[in-house]
Amino acid sequence: MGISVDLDALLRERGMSLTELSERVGLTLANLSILKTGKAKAIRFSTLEAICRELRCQPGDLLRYENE
Amino acid sequence: MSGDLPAPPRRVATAMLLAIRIVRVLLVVASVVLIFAATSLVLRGLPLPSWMKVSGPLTDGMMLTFASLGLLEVVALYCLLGLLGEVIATVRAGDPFQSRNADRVQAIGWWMVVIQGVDMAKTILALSGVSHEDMTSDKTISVTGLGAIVVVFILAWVFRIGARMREELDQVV
Repeated sequence: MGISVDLDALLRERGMSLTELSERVGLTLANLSILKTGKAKAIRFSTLEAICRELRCQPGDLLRYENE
Repeated sequence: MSGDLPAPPRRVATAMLLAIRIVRVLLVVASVVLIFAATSLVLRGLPLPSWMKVSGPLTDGMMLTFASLGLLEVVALYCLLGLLGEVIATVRAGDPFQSRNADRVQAIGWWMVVIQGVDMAKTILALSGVSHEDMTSDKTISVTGLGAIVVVFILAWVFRIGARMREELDQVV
């Protein structure tokens, strides 16, 4: 898949753990792990909005298209 | 994506599983009886109980054929019910939409083909006059059975697509 998720880098920059983010956005740790490891097939706008809100970032900071 | 089944449907599923278990035990008993009948016909030495004997022009070979067909039908039904029980167990666990259930429903369809095949063989024997009215009274080929097989295969197909959609949904965050 050509879309990669930079969740790890954003969490590091914000000094936030995955567990803390999962509590803030109301997602399970398992689902956030799926997103972080690039195994997710799709992301809901509501999830994207919650993550961007909590990490104070734009969707483009989280998702990146890689030309394979 | 699995969820707990509410108590009443769970009780129904449990009752169905119990009923299936009882019927499977009865089928084992039936298969033992059929094996005994077939063995006694082959060996000729073993006496058949009076309720297993049929009067009329049936030869031992015909009776052996019917006993073999009956045994095949019983085995098919036993396997079919086992698969059905496994499907119901997943319903009770609240997680029925999985690809393994699609495989199970498809296997149920194939066992139904076997049962229908045996039924047709018995009908053909009845139509050709080699059977006795004590052995079979049905001399028509069941269209309902054939229709049911088609429905089961279509359901297996739908199940497979549904399970794939659910697997994809599990990867939506």
